[in-house]
Amino acid sequence: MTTEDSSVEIEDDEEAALHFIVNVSKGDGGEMLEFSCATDGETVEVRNVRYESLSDAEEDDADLLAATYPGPNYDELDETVQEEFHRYLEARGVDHVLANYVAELHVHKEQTLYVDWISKVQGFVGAKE
Amino acid sequence: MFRSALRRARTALQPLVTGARASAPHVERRALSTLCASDLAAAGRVSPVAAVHHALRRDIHHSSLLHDAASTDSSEKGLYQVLGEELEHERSTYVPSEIIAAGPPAPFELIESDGDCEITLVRTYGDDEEISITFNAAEVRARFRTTHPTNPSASNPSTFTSSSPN
Repeated sequence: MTTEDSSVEIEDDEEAALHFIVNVSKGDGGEMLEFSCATDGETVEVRNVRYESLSDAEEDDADLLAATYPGPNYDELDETVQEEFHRYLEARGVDHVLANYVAELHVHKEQTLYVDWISKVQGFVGAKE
Repeated sequence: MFRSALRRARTALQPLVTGARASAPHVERRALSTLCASDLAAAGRVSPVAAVHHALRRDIHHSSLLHDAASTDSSEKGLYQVLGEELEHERSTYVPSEIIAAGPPAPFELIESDGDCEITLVRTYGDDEEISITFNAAEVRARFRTTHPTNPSASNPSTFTSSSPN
């Protein structure tokens, strides 16, 4: 495989990635971990981990997002830490089974939205004819 | 028929996925890119989605949705009828997967609304933890549009081209 082929493969993988957010909140939502994740339908990849607390949220939400620490560059975290974050999510059911369901649900929901869109557009143009 | 074409493309592409690790949705998303790229290439054909967009823009009584139905005189059809055929086709052919039919992995519960792109799965864990998983069903399509070769505002058309099998 050439270098160009490799880059195409990476782009294809990235194109196929489905992004989702996992929020883990404790104490009536007083504290929260927000995991930015991606899946190809088989595995869960963590991209970022943000910590938030209710005391931080006294400000306006937009200001809060801009002001709070977004978390470290996840790829630069020690591998042991990354592995433990992965286990932390797995213990909470965020695993390959869920990844598969999320990917299937994405396809199903998009199909449902597509059919709904056709129906609405058809109704719209039909009303004019 | 776009969806059906996508599924056909997914089937055709299945052997091309290395290592047989990719799931059906993974392959389908690849197929989406490949289908649209190949259909929009210089072969003179137009993808079903592009055909709908084209008809919507011009509001003309013509559709390219039925390239594979040679016996149909598409020039006689209006947008309303073409969309009606597409709707009927999708409703009669799409069957949710067994995974969808089985529902979310226990103890997750699904929260969604008709017409809303956002989907949430929720569960509790331990004594005081709430877990929620959120994603947007329109994400891939939005991303696809940003790399569409016929979209003048495409941010990175070379990415789309490079993912084409041609």
